Amino acid sequence: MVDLFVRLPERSFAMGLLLRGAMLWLLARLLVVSTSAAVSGRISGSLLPTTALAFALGVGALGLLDARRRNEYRFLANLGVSQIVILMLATIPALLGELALGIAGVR
Amino acid sequence: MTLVLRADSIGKAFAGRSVLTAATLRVHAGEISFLVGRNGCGKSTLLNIATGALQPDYGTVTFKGRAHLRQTWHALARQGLYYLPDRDLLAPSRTVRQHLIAIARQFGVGDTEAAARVCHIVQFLDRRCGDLSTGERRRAEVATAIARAPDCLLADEPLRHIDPHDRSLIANALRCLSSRGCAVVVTGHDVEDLFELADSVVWCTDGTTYELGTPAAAATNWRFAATYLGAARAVRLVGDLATQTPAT
Repeated sequence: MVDLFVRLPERSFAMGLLLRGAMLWLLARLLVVSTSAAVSGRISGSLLPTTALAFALGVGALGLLDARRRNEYRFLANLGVSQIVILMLATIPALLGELALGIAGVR
Repeated sequence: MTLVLRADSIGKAFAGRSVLTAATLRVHAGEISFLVGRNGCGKSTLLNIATGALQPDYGTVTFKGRAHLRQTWHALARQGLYYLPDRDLLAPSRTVRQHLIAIARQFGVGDTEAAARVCHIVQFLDRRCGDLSTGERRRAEVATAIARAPDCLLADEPLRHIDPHDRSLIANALRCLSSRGCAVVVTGHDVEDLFELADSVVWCTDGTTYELGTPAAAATNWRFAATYLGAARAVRLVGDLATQTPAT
């Protein structure tokens, strides 16, 4: 029954989405750190938990847009994969990254 | 024959311009329907709505006996529908083989090599889709549909950009799908080829649709001939279809 609601894409497409999600998160994070350094004059990567969550979702949305730009969205729809699942896969690396930074206590 | 897909009384407007007002599309198992009409008449819109890629303003879509108030492409795809849009189905950065393997793994169906042979794409299975010519890419897109072996295939202009030699290959592939019970809808302006391929013709015009019956009956419909085919082509088609009938 779960398959009726959530169908993950085939392995190579799923890995592609995860990898690009990780790359996007890394780039977005670097942008945040460099902007904060330019504004405040000191390097700081910390985000409030809610901000970190919103940030991860934002990165996921970028991943979804990237999948559309790459024409993967139509083919994945024919594989039975919804946009929510694409968004979810693109968000996972960002969520894990933010979680890791939170646990490591990056200031 | 079993009715596989029914899009009933569909209406759709874009920015206040009404494209479809009461269009109906019925697709039966084992039958190839040719949805035909002039540019901008709403053929692709109707297919997009039937497949769930676009939501109608009103009307219902029923797939395999189940009515959908808000159908989605991915949900219908899981139930056996495959949509071949008029362009850009495959990811340019991935190879043809990757797409075919993805289908085989996802659904546990399909012989990728056989699909590639049928569509004459074996020689560029390992090339990226973005590096293929438009015609080659189109054949690769059709091959993904063959590999999927769906219960219902909606193919928007499947013969576009395909040379005359390979058109017959694609037509045979679609016939083969249909003979296995797949309900097929094709659109396009390659009237001679598609009339030869189709079992029935649906004319989309003025926001609505008319079921014209067999291609031979459609070619003799005076209003269809006058508005879409043109008199000369209609006469030629009637002659062609009449000479084909004894052979089949």
